[in-house]
Parts: sequence; C-alpha cells; structure tokens
Amino acid sequence: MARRVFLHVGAPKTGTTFLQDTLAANRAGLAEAGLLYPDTRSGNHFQAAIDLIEHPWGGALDKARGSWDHVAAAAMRTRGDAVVSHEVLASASREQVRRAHASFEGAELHVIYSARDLGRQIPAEWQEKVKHRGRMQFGAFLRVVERSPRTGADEWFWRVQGLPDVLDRWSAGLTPAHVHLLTVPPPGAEPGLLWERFAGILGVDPALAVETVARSNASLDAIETAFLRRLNVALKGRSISQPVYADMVRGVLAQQTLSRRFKQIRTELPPESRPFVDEVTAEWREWVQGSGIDVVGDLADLQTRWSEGKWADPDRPRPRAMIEVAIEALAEMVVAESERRRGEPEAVRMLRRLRR
Amino acid sequence: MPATAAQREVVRRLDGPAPWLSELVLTTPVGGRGRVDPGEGDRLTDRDLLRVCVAALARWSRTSAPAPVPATPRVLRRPWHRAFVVAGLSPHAHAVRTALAGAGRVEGGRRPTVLVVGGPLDAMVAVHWRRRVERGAGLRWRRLWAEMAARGVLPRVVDLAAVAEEWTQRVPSGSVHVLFGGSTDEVLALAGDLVGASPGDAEPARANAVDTDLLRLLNQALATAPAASRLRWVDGDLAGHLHRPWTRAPGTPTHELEWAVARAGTLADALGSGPWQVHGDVRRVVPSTDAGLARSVPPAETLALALEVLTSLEGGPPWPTA
Amino acid sequence: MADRVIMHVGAPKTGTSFLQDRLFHNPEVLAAQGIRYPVDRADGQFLAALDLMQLTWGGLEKQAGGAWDRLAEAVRSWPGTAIVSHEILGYASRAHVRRALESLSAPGGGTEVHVVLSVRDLARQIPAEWQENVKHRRLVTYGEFLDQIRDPDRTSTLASWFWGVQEVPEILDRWGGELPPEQVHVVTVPHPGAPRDLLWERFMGVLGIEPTSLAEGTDRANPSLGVPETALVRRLNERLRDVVPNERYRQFVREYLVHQTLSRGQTSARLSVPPDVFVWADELSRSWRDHLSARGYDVVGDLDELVPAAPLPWVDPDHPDPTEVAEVGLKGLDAMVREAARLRDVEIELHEVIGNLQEGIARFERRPTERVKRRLVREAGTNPVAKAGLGAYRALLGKNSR
Repeated sequence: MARRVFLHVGAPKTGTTFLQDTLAANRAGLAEAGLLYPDTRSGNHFQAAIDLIEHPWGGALDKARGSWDHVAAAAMRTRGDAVVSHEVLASASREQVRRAHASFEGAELHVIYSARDLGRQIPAEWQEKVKHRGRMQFGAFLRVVERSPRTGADEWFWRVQGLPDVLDRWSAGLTPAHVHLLTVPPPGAEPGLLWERFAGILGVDPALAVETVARSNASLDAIETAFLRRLNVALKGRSISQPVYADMVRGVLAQQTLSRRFKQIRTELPPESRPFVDEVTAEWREWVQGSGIDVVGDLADLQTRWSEGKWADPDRPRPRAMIEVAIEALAEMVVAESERRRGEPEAVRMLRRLRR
Repeated sequence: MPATAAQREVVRRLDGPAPWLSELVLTTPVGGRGRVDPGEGDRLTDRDLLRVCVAALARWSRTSAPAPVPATPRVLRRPWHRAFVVAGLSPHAHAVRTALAGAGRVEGGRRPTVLVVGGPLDAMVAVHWRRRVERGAGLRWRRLWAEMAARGVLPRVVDLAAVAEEWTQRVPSGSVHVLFGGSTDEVLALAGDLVGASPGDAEPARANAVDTDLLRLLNQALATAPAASRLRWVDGDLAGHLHRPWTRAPGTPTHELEWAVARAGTLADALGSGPWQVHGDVRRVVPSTDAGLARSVPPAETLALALEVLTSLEGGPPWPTA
Repeated sequence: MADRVIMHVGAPKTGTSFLQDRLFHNPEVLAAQGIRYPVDRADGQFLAALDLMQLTWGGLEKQAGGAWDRLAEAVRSWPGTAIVSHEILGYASRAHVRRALESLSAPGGGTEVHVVLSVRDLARQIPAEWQENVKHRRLVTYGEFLDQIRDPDRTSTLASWFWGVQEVPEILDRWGGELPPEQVHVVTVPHPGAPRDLLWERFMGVLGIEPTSLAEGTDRANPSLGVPETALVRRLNERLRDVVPNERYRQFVREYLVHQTLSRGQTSARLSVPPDVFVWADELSRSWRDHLSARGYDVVGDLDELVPAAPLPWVDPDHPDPTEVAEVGLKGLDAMVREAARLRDVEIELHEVIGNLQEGIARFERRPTERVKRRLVREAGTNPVAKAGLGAYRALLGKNSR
C-alpha cells in the first residue's frame, strides 16, 4: 500500500502539462527513488480525471469509464509515494472529491494546487477557448468572469481557477499541512524553479529529472488569438475535422518562429478591470494566510505585475498585424497541403498494381 | 525571310563563318523570352545576341547525331586493395576520385574507408549546379542560390555533415574521414595515405560556370524537344568546349551571401564535432566574401563562349544537303 | 487542306478564354458550319504556341513537344475553315510567324490566312496584366511594374513580354505584314457599359459563326481581383517563393484561392491606373488608333474604343487599406481550411477504398457503397489517386461479376 499519495489537481494554465511531461519522461528514475507516476495508455491522467468528474468532454467520457479506479489502484499498489496529476480535477464537486479521497483510504493524502497570478490566468483561459474553436470576444469573456460568483461556481473559469473554492472542496478532511499551494514563478524567473518547487513537495531530488522536456511555446499572442477567433466565427457550423483545424492553428502559431514577425503582443486586461483583479487577489492572499496551508513559493508571485504603456485591445487588433498572421497561416496551409499531395504518386502506383 | 538585326550581328561576330553556319544563324527562329525582334534603331544587348546563338545551337543539336559514348573499361577491384569510397562534390573530391582511379583503385567494397572530401560551399554548389544542368535543368546560378536560401536547406549532397552522418550508420565512425585540404596535392597525399595508394594524375572538376550557363540556356531552348536532344551536349562533339574545369568565379551571389556564410558556419561546426576523423580545417567550407570576386555569370562571357562553340561546329548543316 | 485559316493571336484579357472555351465545347456545331478548332485537350493550342515559340512556362513546356506540328497537321487536313486561337501568339517573332503560316498552309498555296486581334484600351489592359503576373507567382509591385513597362528601352523580361503581347500595331505588323489588309481584323472590346453580348457578336461575326450556336461551355467567369485581394496574393507569393512547386501553387493558390474564392462576390475597389500613367496610356492609345486607321485593316467595332474611357478612381494596391486586406486574408483562410477539410475527407475515404481493395480480392464480395463510388467518380477528374482507385475498383468489379 502506498505511503503517501499526492493529488495535483490544477490549476489549468499553470505549467501543469510541463510538470506532467517531466514526470512521464522520468518515470523510471523517479520510480526507483520511490515516487510512482502511474502509467496509462495515453501517458497522462486525463481520462482518469474526466472519469472522476464525469465531464462529457466531446464524447471521450465513454471510453474513460473505469480509468480513475485503474489509476487509483495502481497508485495504491506501490510501496513508496505516488502522484496523480491532472488540472481538470480542480472542477470536482464535493461528492466527487469524497470519492477521490476514498480511493486512497489508508495512505497519507496530500493535495497540490499550482496557481499563477489572476491577471495572466484570465487571458490564458480565453485563449484556450479560442484555440478550441471558441467565438467569444475577450470583452464578453471578461464580463462573464467579472459577474460570475466565485464560490460554489458553475462557471468553468472560477470553478477551476478560484483558489479558495478549489482548495475548500479538495481539502475536506485533510490537515492544512498536507495541502500545498505551489506558486508559479513570475516571468523572468529561473527556468528550473517551477520543477524544483514541485519536486520539493513530492519529496524527490529535482536533479532526478535527467530527461528535460521542452516548454511548449504554444501560447498565442493577442493578434493571433483575435485572428483565430474571427476565423472560428467564419467557420461556425462547418464540420471541419480536428486534424485539419489543428493544422491551421499550427500555421497561425508558426508566426512565432519568424523573426520578421511583428513584436509579440501579450493579451492583457484593460486598465478598468485591474482593480477588480487586485481586489480578488488580495482576498485570496488573506484566505491563504488564514488557512494555514503550506505555501511553496511566494504569495507575492500571485500579485499581477501590470505592464506600463498603452493597452492593446484584443478585440480590436491592428489590421497590419492581422495581415501578417493571415499570410503566414495561408502559406502554412498551402505548404502543408502540398506536402500531403506528395504521397499521391505512391498511392497511384499501388492502385495500378492492384488492378492486375 | 529577312534576317533580324540581331542575327546579322551574330554572323558579323562569327568573323567569316562557313556559308552553312551563316545560313543556320540567319534562318533559325529565336525562341524563349526576350525582346521580340529588336529593330534597326534599338541597341542590341548581349542577351539579344545570346538568344540568337542559343537558338542556332539548339537547332543544330536537335538534328545532329550524338557522338558514340566510349565504352568505360571494366576495371576489377583487387581484393587486397583497401575498400574505399569518395563522397562529396567539391573540386577536390573530383581530384581524389580521378587520381585514385588513375592509380588503378576502384571505389566500393565491403566496409569501405569513406573519404568525405570538402571544399568551399560556393565550389560545391557550382559542381552541384553543373550536375543538375547536365540532367536537364534550366535554372540560373542566382536562381539556384535563391531557392536554397528560401528553403534554408542545402542539397543533400552538399551537406557534408549529413553525408558523413549517414556513412557512420553503415561503417565504424573511425573509417569515416572528412578531408579539407588546402591544396590539391595536400588532399591527394592525405587520401593516398588513407587508402594505401600512390595517387595518379588528378582531373579537375568539369564545372566551369560559363559552360554550365550556356548548357542551361540550351536546356531551356530544347525544353520542348525530346529529352535525348538535351543530353547530347554532354557526351557529344563539344566535350572540349563545354567541359572546362571549374574556376573560382562566380562566387555566392551577393543577395544570398550572408545566409551562405551563416549556413556554412553551421556546417563547419557540425563537421568539426562529429564522431568521424577530421583532417584539415573545416572552416574552409565558408564561401569567399572577397569583394572583388564576381558573383554572377555575365552574359558577355556566355555570349563569347556561344560564338566560339558555333565557330567550332563540325559536320555541316542540320538540314539535308545535295 | 484548309481553305481558310483564322489566326486569333491575342490580346490577353480580351475575352479570349471565354471564346476558346466555347469553341472547345461545341465541335459538332462548328463542324456543321464547316469550321474546326483543332485541339486534343482544352489547353492544346496553348501548348502548341509554347512549342512554336520554344517558351518555358513553369514546367508545362515538357508536355508541349510536337504540339505545334500536330496542330498544323490537323489544320492542313481539314477542308473547311480552321481556327487557331491563343493570346500568347502575339509574342511570335517574324520568324515564328513565317514558320507558323508556312506549316498551316497547303504546300501548293490556296489557303487564305486571316489574322484576328482583339484589343482593349490600355488603361484596362495594364492593371489586368499586372494581376496576371501576380496570379503567376510574380512578386513585382504595381509601381515597379508600371516603371518597367514605361521604360523606353524595355530592358526587363517583364516589359518585353508585356509589349510583346500588348503592342497592337507591332503585333499586327508581324502577323499581318504580308497579308492584304482586308484579311487582318481588329476586334475592339467595347467600353464598360456597352451591352453584354456586343463583344460576342463581334467575335462571331469575324469568325463566321452563327452567334447563338455555341451553346455548351463551362461558363467559368474570370472576374478580376480587387485591390486588396491582389495585394494579399502578391504578399502571399513573397512568402511562398521557392517553397512550393508550381503545380501545387496552381492548384491551391491560383485555382482555389484566387478563382474559386477571392474572385467571387467582391465589393472591393477595382484596380485602375494612376493619373500620370493614364495620361501616358491615353496618348499612346491615340497614336495606335491613328496608325491603325491608316493601315486599312478590317475594324470590327470602333477604333475609338482603343482610347481609354474615363478612368476608375485610383486606389494604390501597393499601399492598400490594411483593414480590407485583413478581411480578405480571413476570407481566404476560411476557404482554405474548408478545402483542406474536404480533401482530408476525400483522402480518408480513398484510403478506405484502398484498404478494401488490398484486403482481399477474394473477400471482395460486398458491393461497393454507392456513396464511395460516386465520390471516386467525382474526384477522378482532379485527383490522380481517385482516378487510379476508380480504375482499380472497376477492374475488380469486372473480375468479380458473375
């Protein structure tokens, strides 16, 4: 039976994929050091997570039935420690959290929640929606976020990003010392710092992660997101398969490798929304201090550093920059389609042979 | 059919051509792109005259019989000779190949010693250009570089690090040698040592840029001719005129020079850090940035060559004579 | 032997594609009127023209070997009137013209040769030619284009090509120099605002064809691109330079993006010429008009139509409104994504078919689903894999039919 089980439940857009990839790449080494990251067919715990939270997720739920029990059982079988990690776990209801806790009856249960400053999280969640064919403008999204209740939330954003709410649900029955808040270092911090903090909580030597994993640069800037959103509007109602859509997004992302591209413009909150964010952040910081939970990192990391200078409205992108994005994406699509046609002569030859 | 001003000027520059040659030039319609029938008053450019020459040569070529291809004598590889292979396209590679062949050594065999013989990037690309043109390409020197720079990729056979890498998959890396000698003698001596032979006479790489330029123009003019016509030039009577050795000019075109130097630098780093044996200075792969070096093939030079070739045509006219 | 040969040698962008399309699709109707338009494929005469003038054309020249001789043979063997039509023929030098006319006429003489040149005013021809350049992957800006064509020395290839196919008096002189002027016909394209059928009537009149008889055709309209559309495609050309082969560019950019997407339903500004260029073009056109009327050619229409009408408002495609171009970009990408999706679906189905075929000819009992077969038939025209797949399908059906 496992000694300690760590449940890393979120939040989305806090480098969780990076941490999970690092765990996966170093599975063997970590296992030898006494930490099990249970393996699955997909390599991550996504299916287990949606099984637990019973989220339809575009038809994937059916195939995921039974995954949670499978992962939990695997975790419990080890003699040392185990870690289960997926950021959608943050949305679990109290009932689902009870079920999760019950799966690890007998082991010392820890909950880890990584958090980043709210000023970066809001635009990040919006971009994520757009990358998944969302059509909502940033302004509209922001309004929804501002108006939705933050506790007992139905709205996805607060349900997974609302720090006190998530921890309240997940830490039921746990001592504060076993609830860990991992703060994501601000931009410009040392690259290995996030992993070091995470490894520290898990009780493993960070240097054990000999296989390094590239940080995926898959974040769009304001122009690209705006462009993609407009495209999603145009494509509304058309059945475009996911691989084709993904190709095109990749084409838009290819912008980032060009040095002749316009300077990257980060999506940021307008000045009028900043007091709201600062207020909520202050509220949360107070809650954390009062709760006695273990803070790994620095609460000051949760304070958004607002940038100086004129705010660029992501809903009103500069046309010139949009043109650059359009051309790059068009070119990438033409190149990609040309590459695909390369296989044609081969197929034709094969078909000719079949005729005989 | 009255001849055009350009045709008459070419005949004048041929300086007393045989009557049939004169007629060939004056009666061959000029194909391809350029000014349509520049008139009396217009100044005739080298390009106008070159089009005329190329048209005449192409017409002659379509109907001339190809020269018989000399049978290559089959040389047997002796089992006690060390197996070897010469890889790469540089002028030095060609020298090594021919010198070793001259010494009776045949490439091939099991687990060969691999000699990857390098040279400056612009020299290797010049030889590569020549090979493409010999296979029918019609692209200009500058165009080839523009294509490479646009894709950011060197042709497989020019990317010596990739070549060496591939060989290390097949033979022990100790058997793969990258050679960047300063002089031909130096490289030959080195190659000879590695292979255990005393090299014979080396042949220069037949990749003169002006020759290649004329050949590529002929390819364009013969674009709608059967493929065999295009290749006749390679083996035909004019071998002596169009197979002159590679010279240092032209270098990398100015527009692509920065890219070429950077790319060669990357190549040199890759060559210097591989598991194979390195002899000589790999930085020699960086192309020349000498400001005085010509970086394109001037039409005047190709024209001069074309006139020379026309003058030397033997065998009479391509039409039936009485 | 043909007793009459009509050489329609240009100019580009004067309705020639529509004419050639109709001629191609109505061979029996033409034959009944004693006329033949000899082609073995839709672009057959284009290849013949390439062959005649030994022109390279993005790789297409490889298919052109012998095309002129075949055309000439077909013309000589037709006892009535033969029509040869392609707008690049204007580029032929005197020597090419001589070769052409000699090969098309019967050896003993007796073939009456007519030359037809359809002409449109320069203020419309100039922007149209630049757009053609852009649709053929060129990167030249409109400003550079205008400079090069106005250069008196015409040193660039672009300029020599432009004037080679647009310089009306010269073309008529090269093609018609040795013909009696009544056998040289100038068809003028009416100014904008004229009745739609007027040009067609003029063509039919000069070719001697009953105007309403050519009923079949692909009706493929070839509308011009607007200013922001052309600007976008030119920028795309820069980005795609040397990166995709010509064949793919033709398929995706020229055919799909330009013809099927961007040319449709545009409300953007049309391309025109800047005021100083208009003045120059106007002057040049007048001198052409005067020259031509002095030559006594047969004019179908009105030589005054050579002189430009009032120009459209000038909008610079080299400095377009960024908002408009961005919109065009979106529209284009929308279309490309949908096309990519469609092709992907086709691919998936084709792979299914291939899978079935490979799996077991013995086990291939099940009748092919109608839908898949219909898809193969539909795609076989443009998709080589589909065509081969259809062949294999049919062969197997043949083998397995009782």
